[in-house]
Amino acid sequence: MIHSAGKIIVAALAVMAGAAWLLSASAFAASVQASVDRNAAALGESIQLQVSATGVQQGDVDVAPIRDFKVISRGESRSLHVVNGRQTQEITFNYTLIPVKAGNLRIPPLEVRTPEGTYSTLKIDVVVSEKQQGESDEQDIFVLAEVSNDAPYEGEQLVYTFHFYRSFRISDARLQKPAFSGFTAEQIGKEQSDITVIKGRRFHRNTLSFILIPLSTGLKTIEPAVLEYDVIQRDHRGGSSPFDFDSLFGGPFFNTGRVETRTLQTRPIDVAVRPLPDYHGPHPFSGLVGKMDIRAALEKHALKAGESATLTIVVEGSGNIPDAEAPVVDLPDGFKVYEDAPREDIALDGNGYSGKKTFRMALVPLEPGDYRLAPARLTYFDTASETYETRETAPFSLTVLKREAEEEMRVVPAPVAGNGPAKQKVAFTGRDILPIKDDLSALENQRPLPLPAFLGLLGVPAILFVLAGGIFLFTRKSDDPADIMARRARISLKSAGAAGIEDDAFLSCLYRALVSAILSRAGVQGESLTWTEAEAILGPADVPVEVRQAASALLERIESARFGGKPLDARERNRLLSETRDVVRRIS
Amino acid sequence: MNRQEYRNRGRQWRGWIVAAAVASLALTGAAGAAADGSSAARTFLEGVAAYGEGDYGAAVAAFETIAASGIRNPRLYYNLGNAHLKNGDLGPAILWYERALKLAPDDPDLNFNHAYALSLATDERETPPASIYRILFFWRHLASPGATAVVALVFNGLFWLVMTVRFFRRKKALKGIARPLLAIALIFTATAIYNYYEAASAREGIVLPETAPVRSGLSEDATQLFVLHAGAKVVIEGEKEGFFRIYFSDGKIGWVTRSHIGRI
Repeated sequence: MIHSAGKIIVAALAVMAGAAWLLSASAFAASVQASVDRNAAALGESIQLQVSATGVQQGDVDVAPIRDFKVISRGESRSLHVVNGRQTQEITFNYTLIPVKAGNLRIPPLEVRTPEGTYSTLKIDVVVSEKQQGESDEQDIFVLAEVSNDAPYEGEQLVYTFHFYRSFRISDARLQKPAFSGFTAEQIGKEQSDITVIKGRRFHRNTLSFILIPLSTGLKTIEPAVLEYDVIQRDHRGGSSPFDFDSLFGGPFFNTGRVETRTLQTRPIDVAVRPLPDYHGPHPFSGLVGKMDIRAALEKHALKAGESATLTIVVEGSGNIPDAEAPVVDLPDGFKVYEDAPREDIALDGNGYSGKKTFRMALVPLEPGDYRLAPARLTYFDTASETYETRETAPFSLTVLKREAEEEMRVVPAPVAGNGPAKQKVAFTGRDILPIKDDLSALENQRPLPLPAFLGLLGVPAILFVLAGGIFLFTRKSDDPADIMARRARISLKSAGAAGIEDDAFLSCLYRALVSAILSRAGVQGESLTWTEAEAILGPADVPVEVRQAASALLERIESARFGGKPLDARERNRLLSETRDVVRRIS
Repeated sequence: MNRQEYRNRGRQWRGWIVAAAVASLALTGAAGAAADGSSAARTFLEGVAAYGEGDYGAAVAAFETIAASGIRNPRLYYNLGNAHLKNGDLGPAILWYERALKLAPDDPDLNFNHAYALSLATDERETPPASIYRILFFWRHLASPGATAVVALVFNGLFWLVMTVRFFRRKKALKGIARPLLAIALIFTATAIYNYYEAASAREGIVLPETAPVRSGLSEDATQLFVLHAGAKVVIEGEKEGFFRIYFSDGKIGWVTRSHIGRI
C-alpha cells in the first residue's frame, strides 16, 4: 500500500515538473509588445513609445509604417531577467513620437525582425487635440520659425530663421533642423543668443538662420524643426521662481529636482516657389537671380602682336552670385584667350549671399591692327522689379602694333619635324598595379636578427679587444734590467739542470745564472763579474754577509772549474748545481 | 705507446665523434628544411599560377599559407598585397603592403602599388604629429631594419679593429679614422635599437573591412563616434575585451572591434 502511494507521489511530481517546464518554456518564448506613455496628447507634445522584445538576442524594429508622427529614435536598452533559474534577455527600443496633425491618430502594428523570426506588435490609438504649444503669451518656453519670403522665384534666395525663447533654465537643448527638401540650405554663421522682452516678459532667445535656394518650382513645405530639451523639475519645498535662472544656487548641485525631457516643434512652413517669367531677350540669360552688376577693365590698350593684355570682369551683387559663370566676351578673329580660375569674394550673412566674383583672362592678339572689343554683358532676373535686366560694360579699344624686326630675329624657332619631337610631360594613360614577384626568393625567410643576438654581436669586438689587451699586458715581457737578468738566471739554471749537458756548458750556465742573479740585484745588465765585483754589488744591496760570502766563494769555484779543465763527476755537478740554485734563490 | 701518445690518440677520436654527430644533425635538419622548402615552393608557384589566371582568391590563400608558416619576406608580402587588391580587399591589401614596407622601404614596385592602393582608400590620411623620434631618426626610412643592423655591426667591428691596431701598433694615423667610424657606428646602432623598439611595440594597424564603426565604449551598443573605411591607418593605443582603442587623427579616438583592425 505504502509502496504504491510512493509511486503515485513520484508520478505526480514528475507530471508537475513537466508542466512547470512546459509553462516556463512557453513563458520564455520570444514575444514583442509596444506601449506608449499616454494615449492622449496635444499638438506639440511628445509621446514616448517603447517596443520590447523578450527572449531574443538582437532585433530590429521597422518604424517606417508610422505616418502620423515624427519618429525620433532614443536608442535601445537591454536587460536580463532570471525567473525560476532561467535567464531571459529583453531588448527595449525607445522612440519619441511627435504628432504631425490633430485627430484620432494610430501607431500601426510594427514588425520586429529577430534571428528567431519576425514578430508584430499590436496597433495603438492616440488622440491628439488641437491645442498647440507655441507662441502663446502664457508660455514660458516656445519656438518659432519664419522665412523671409514665402513666395520666392526659382533660384531666389530666402532666409529661414529659427527662434527659441525661454524664460527659465533648461539644460542640453538639442535641435533637429528640418530636412529642407527641395532647397539647397546652408547655415548662416553661428547660433546667436540674446535677451529680449515680449510684452513685459524677459526671455532668453537663441536664433539660428539658414539661407535657402529653391531647386525647383511649386509648393514646398519646410517640415517642423524639433527642439528637445531637459528641464529640471524642482521640488516644491524650495519655492523657487521661474525667473531665477540667474540664481547662483539654481544649479543642479543645490537643487533636489529631477530632469525631464520635453520637445517643442515649429509649425510647418509652406513656400510657393514661382517659376521665372519667360525670357525672350537678345542676350543669353546668366541664370543669376537677385540684384547684380558687372564691370570690366583692360590692363592696357596698346601692345605688340603676341603680347598679352589682361581683361578683368567683375560680377557683383546679392543673390545666387556663387553660381555666376564667366560672361561671354565677343572677340575679333586673331585673338587667343587664356582664362584664369575665377576668384570669389562672397560673404553669407542674414541677407543671404552677397559679394563679387572676378574673372581674369589674358588676351593675346596675333595680328597688328586697331580693334574694338564688344562690351561684356550680364542678363539676370531682378527680384525687386521682377523683370530681366541686362547690364553691360563699356566697349574697349585696343591697338596692336607690329612686332619689331630685331625682336622677331631673336625669337627661337619652334622645333620642326625632323629635328626631334617637341618635349612634353609624360602622363599616365591608365591605372593598374605592377605585377607580382614570381621568383622563389620570396620564400627566403628574412627574420630579423634578434635583439639579444644583435647586442651580443655588437659587444663581441669590444670583448675581444679587452681580452687581447689584457693578455698582452699580462704576458708582456718587462723592460726592467733587473727582471731581464732574473729571468736569464732562471733560464740558465734550468739549462744547467738539463740531462746530458757537457761540463763546459754546465759550468757556463751556472756562471751565467749566478752572475745574472747578482746583476739583477744591482738592477743592471751584464755578462760577467769577478768575485770582488760581486761583493761590491751585493754589499750595498743589503744582502746578508753569509750570502755574499757564499756567492763570492761559489763564483770563484765555478770559474776555477771552468778554466781548470778538470772533469766533474756527477756528485760534484750536483753539489754545484744545488749550491748555485740556493744562492740564486737567496740573492733574489 | 707512451702516455702522451695515448692522450693524443684519445683527442683525435673525440674530434671525429663530435664531427660525425654534428654532420648527422646537419643532414637531418637539411632534409627537413628541404622538405618544407619544397612544399612552400609548390604552394608559392600555385599562388603565382592562380594570380596569373585571375583566381585571386586562390592566390591569396596560397600566399597566406606560406606567410602563416612563418616566412617573413617583403616580396611575399608584396604578392599578398597585390592578390588582395585584385581580389577587391582593399584593407588587407594595404595591410600587407605596409608590412612589406617595414622590411623593404625602398622597393620601387612596392611603393608604386602601395601608392595606388592608398589612392583607392576613402579616408584621407592625416599627417601624424611629428614625434621627436621621427625627427631624430629621419634617415631610418631610407634603409630596412636588417640593413641598418648590419651596417651598425660592420662599423662597430671596424671601429674596434682600428682600436686594436692602434693599441698594438701605436699608429697615430688611425686616430683620425677611429672617430668617424665611432660616430657612424653609434648612429646606426641607435637607429637599429629604435627599429627593434618600434617592431616590439607594433602600435599601428589598418582597417580591414569596408567600414569599421568607431564607438565610444567596449560594446556594439556604444555610441558610434565616427566611421573608418578600409585601408585607414590607425595607431593602436590599447586592447581590452575584444576591442582596440585606436587613434586616427587629432580628436578622433575610440574603440573598434578587434577583428576590424590588422596589426602592421
